[in-house]
Amino acid sequence: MNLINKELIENFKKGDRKAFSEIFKLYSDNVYNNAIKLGLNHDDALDIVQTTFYKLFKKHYQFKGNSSLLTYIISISLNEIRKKYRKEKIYVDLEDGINLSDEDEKRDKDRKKRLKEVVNRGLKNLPLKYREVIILKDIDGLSIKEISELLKISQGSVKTRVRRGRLMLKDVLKDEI
Amino acid sequence: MKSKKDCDLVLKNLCKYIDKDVEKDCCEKIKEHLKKCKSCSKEYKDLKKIIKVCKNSFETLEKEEKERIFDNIKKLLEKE
Repeated sequence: MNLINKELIENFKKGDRKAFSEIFKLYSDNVYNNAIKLGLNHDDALDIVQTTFYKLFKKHYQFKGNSSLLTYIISISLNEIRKKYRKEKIYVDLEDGINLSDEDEKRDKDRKKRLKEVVNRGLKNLPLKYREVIILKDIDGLSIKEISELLKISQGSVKTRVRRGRLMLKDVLKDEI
Repeated sequence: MKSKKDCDLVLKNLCKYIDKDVEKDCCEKIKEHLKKCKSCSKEYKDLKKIIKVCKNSFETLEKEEKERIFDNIKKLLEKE
């Protein structure tokens, strides 16, 4: 995640397609992962990746470098995810477990895959405001300050949410991991 | 330190301790407490495990999916 350098960002800001392609390669997984963790299905998550990076390139000149590029990309993707929530009324907070398709069941043999499903299921049990900060802090690795700016809440609130979110997740997953 | 009050204080600050967001003397106190207190130490290990598991649950796109999405974006941009 730290492979990004100043030159790449400067080129991107000028609208350079090659730099954009590199940035896409570096950060598209973060956007996809966040969408899945926030409860979207695979196809919707792919849509989010496409829309996020399309908008990123269209708005390349708007990136001033006040935040890290990853934070900027995540802010675009979170807006898109929220739009999808509103549009399709995805109330994943109340979803029970995961419905495994045949294909998923085959892949379920893979231990790593199972672990991901357990975590995803655990996260789905958390209210959205806690889920968001856990993803941003513990998976994307953003700082408290970055999350505070991104979600427009105080750093104290971010810390409280991180603490409560982790404790809730621990309770939810205690018998599974 | 090992009393109910100490445990409460440690448990309250465990997340901050993990994130290295506590003052140096508080950090030392927690460290010492964790050496002596089994239940707080278990809580600490469980929390660390959850964070690690979260990190390891990172979902990635297949290479072909990435290429397809990038091609779609290029097409969208060329249309304009």
